[in-house]
This record gives sequence, C-alpha cells and structure tokens, in this order.
Amino acid sequence: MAEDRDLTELRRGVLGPCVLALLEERTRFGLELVRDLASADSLLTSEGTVYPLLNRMRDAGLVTSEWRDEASERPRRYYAITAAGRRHLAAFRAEWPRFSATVSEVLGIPAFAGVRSGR
Amino acid sequence: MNSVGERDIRVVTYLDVLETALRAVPERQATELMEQITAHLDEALPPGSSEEAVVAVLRRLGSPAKLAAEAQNTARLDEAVPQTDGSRRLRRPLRHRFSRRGWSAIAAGLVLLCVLTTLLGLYVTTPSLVLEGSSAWWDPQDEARAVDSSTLGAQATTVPARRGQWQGFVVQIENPSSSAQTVLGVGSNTSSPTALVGLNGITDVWVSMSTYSNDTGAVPDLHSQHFSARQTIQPGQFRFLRVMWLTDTCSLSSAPGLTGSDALDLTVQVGWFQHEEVLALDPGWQLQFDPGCPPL
Repeated sequence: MAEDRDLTELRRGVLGPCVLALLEERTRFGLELVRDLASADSLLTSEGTVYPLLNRMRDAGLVTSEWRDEASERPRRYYAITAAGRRHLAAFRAEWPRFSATVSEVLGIPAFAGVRSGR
Repeated sequence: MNSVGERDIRVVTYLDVLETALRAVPERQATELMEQITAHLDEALPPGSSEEAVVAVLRRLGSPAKLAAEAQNTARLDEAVPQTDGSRRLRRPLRHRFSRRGWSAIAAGLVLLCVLTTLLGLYVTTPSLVLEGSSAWWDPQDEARAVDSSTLGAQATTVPARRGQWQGFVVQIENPSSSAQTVLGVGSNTSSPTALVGLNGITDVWVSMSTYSNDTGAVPDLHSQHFSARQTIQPGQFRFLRVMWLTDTCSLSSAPGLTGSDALDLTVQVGWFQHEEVLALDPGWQLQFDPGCPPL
C-alpha cells in the first residue's frame, strides 16, 4: 500500500543517522546494533536491511568495520563511526528539529513542546 | 560459529533462498551480505534453539527478496559513481576501429548464421526432460505427515500448511537427450507452482535445482545438497528440482482449503534456443489449510 511505502521510505531515510548515533556511543557488532535499533518502536520493519545500509555507510566512509576474535566469544564484525560519520551526524542533528517541526506544521500536527519550526 | 550441519533446516533454506536472490547483486556485495546474515543467524540462534525462536528470528530478519532489493540499491549507488576519464577514452578507439572494418561484421554474421542453423537442428531433435525417479516433501516433518489420495484417477500428496514457513517438494528430473539442457526457471502457466503466488494463501515461491548430478542413479542425502536457480543437466544425467512455497494464512475461502501444483512449466535452453516444457506432476503436491492453526 502507498502508506506502507511512505513509511518504509521515511524509516530508510532516518535509519542511517540512528545507526551513527548508536555507534557514536560505542562500537557494536552486527546483531547487537540490530537489536538496539529494533528496541526503538517502529524504527525497523526488517532487521536484515540494516546490513546493506551498514555496507553503504562504510563505502561512503561514515563507518568502519573490523573482525574481532576475542577470547570466549565467536568472531564478530564490529562497526565504528568515523570522523566523517560524526560530522554527518552532527549536521543531521542540527537540521532534524527544524525539519520535523516543519513537516508537522504542514501536516497539521501540533509541534512537540519545546520544538519550534523556526519559520 | 555453527557448522552447516548444526543449523536448523529453516535457516539453511533461508540462506539458500537468499543466496539465489542475491544473484543479481555484484559478487562483492552479495558475498559480504551472505557473510553478515549468516553471522547474524548463528549469533541469534545457538544450537538447540526452539522452532518458535527460529521462525521469529527469520521473520524479523525480513524476506530474502527484500534484503536482495536493499543490496541491489547499494550496488546501484556504487554504479552511480562517475566513471573516470580513462574508461571513457577507452571506448572511442574501439568503436572507431570497428566502424573501419565493417566487412568483418558481415563475415561474422555469416558464420553466426551457420552456427544458428546447426543449433536450430539440434534444438528441434532434442527430446524433452522427464520426471523420473525419486520425489519427496523437502521437510522431514512434512514427509512424515503426508497423506496420499486419488480423485478421478489423479494422484495427490497433501500436507498441512505451516503458516510463515517454507514448505515444498523435491522431484528428480532426467535429461534423456544427447544434448545438454539448461533449466532457466519455472514459467507461470495456471498449474505451475509460481502461478500460485498471491493466490490461495501463498505469498512467495522459490524454485531451484541441485548442483549434484551423476548418471549412476544413486540418490544422495538431499539436505546436504547445494541448490541454485539455474542448472545445466548433461546428457543422461539428472538433477533434483526443489519447489518451496511460503504461506501467510491458515484459512482459504475456497473449499476444501487445498492449494498446490500438478505441473511444472519449465523454461529450458538447448544450445542458444529457449522453449517451454510442461511436465505433469504425478502425484500433484498440495498444502491443506486449516483455519484452526496457531496465530503468527
């Protein structure tokens, strides 16, 4: 349905910055990152789609990945944010409040308390 | 990490389907995604995980087709990177050289015509593939619960539909001709397994063939075989063709709640020519839908 596609595209657009925000806290391995994203309500519809996104972000220089073979654990591929990823995240954080408030205003949804559209 | 032998059959099937779905994706991206999804499943499903846990993890992961589509998007973005000047320079002299030697194209065309005529003769005289030998439901639990029936002379084998899980069957196909025949896929005539997608509770279908082949007639352990979408059957040899369905409901509006296939509509290539072959399935393979099945 059209509504489903709209929401899917919306999620796809914001998922990258959310991944960067989690990796800004600390490095994470694949399943750990997926589970943390899935714990946020309605952010993920298909957990597997996180991996193509991670690969795309790595190719864009926003994250790096490396295999770690730590004692008592299975080998895991860990992902970390890069300096370019931090700049990208900072730019998104700066733009998001104004953008979301503008969309809310156009849609006729009351803005969240404390968030102004800036228009 | 789990070894292949320790993985649940549903996980093995999922990875097989994903590998096939990734055929359209460049090899580097496909290999990397297979590695990531395999690691995800091995981590999320330690040996001994319950059936419910396996089904839930696979459902959350998303359909292989969806993952392949995402990976394909990634590949397209890679391709969108502007080409270097060097690659553009390379094409011009090749085109120029070709235009100066147009006569060579005419000669090549004549040779091609001779080859096509030979291959057409080969195609016309090649016997069709035949269903011969073993057949079974893919999942042992389905095989154990299968019920055989006969209606107006038509044989059928029926199992209960397991909503949200891949179910299907394997048949043995032999090439009786003296030419190699390549099965490119399954068509969509009304009785074909692929024609059921979107109808009667079936949401997805996956058809593949075993890479195993010999001419001794020995039947290998099917679940240790590797399956892929396109296979060439050499003269006198056989392959196993596997049809898997995915369902999303337990209840059908049509009585008596059965859906299935009684024919395989194969797209086959002999030499350079393609044609359709319809093989009658005897017995037909059916799923029985039960409105009382547990919710997803």
